[in-house]
Amino acid sequence: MLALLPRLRRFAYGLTGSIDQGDDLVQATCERAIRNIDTWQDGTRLDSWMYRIARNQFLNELRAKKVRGQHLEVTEIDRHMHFDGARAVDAQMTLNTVRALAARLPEEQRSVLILVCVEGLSYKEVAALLDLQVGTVTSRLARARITLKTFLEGGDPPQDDSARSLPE
Amino acid sequence: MTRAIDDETLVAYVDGELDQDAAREVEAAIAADPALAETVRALREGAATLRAAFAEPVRAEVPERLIAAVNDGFAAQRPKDQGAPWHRRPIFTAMAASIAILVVGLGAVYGVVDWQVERRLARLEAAQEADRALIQSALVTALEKHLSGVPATWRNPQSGSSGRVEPVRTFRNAGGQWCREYILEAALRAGDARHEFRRAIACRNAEGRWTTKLETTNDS
Repeated sequence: MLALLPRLRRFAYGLTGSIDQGDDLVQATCERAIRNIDTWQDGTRLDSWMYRIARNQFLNELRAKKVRGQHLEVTEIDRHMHFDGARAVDAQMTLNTVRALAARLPEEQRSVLILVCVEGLSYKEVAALLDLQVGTVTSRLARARITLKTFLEGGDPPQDDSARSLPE
Repeated sequence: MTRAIDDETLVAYVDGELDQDAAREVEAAIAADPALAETVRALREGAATLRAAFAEPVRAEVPERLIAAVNDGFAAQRPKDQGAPWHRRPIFTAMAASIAILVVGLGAVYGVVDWQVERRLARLEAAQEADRALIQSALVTALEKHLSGVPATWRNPQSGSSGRVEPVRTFRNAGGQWCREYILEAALRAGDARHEFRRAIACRNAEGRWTTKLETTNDS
């Protein structure tokens, strides 16, 4: 489990958009995983099992925040949302804007995007992990990837505000 | 080009998720359409940028509090028996520490670890090492000896893992070196079973060594 921490932290960073919030999520995930370690089946992927716990934990937190009527701390978005691909010579700035864009995607697209592009899972693995059809994974991923590409090419940032809402 | 390639197909192609026939069809379309080729390049670049954007946690050290959360969590689960807690007894401390050194490697000693899980991981490390060696050898064989389209396959009966390396095309780069684009696919069964798919370009230097220059990786 310790060996998985770096990758779990990366995944949580992708979900929450912040290293600190991500680490809180990882901590909650580990605690929950250890309490339920008996339900992990030897021979199955420990990483998938933990990604799943992390993502469920994240959704629970999103819901709790929504119930309390608080704003999600989607960090640093608006300041960075104007992005000119042609003039973005500063690599660090590109990475900041990409993080901001990921945070702004609807959660259902963001999870799939991070699991495939960052964590390197196959579509089939992601479908199993999120209880989705492979076709659903494919279409969510394609939407997210095209948004990302358009954005990096200096196009308009997505206008919808669904990063703050839950998947239907 | 026989038909328009939609976004989903193109993205699936970039991720190595298409079967061979579908991938060939996309490749033909790309060859005929520079705009499509540009889209593929941009999609790959987007994924690489995204990976870079969230890479920090895998480069940085894991915060102490997370390691403590795991260790304390497992420690709390053990029955509280007589005497000192199990993880404080000298013999266990010594054993666990040496296992931790073996497993974690890279000089990072994470401390006393959940050792049932870690012991399993130690066995897996060895199997994974063997898999890596077989992949490397298949890669050299494929690049050096195989025609494009003819895969070099490997199999590790111990771990149950298997895979192939298939050269896709051969060309000369600007510096006159021979380069080959290849596909590396592996079904890894040691531990967390996973499927690895990679497309990369390797070039051969004057000493005959193949160096991978560009990689679109889909592993983790």
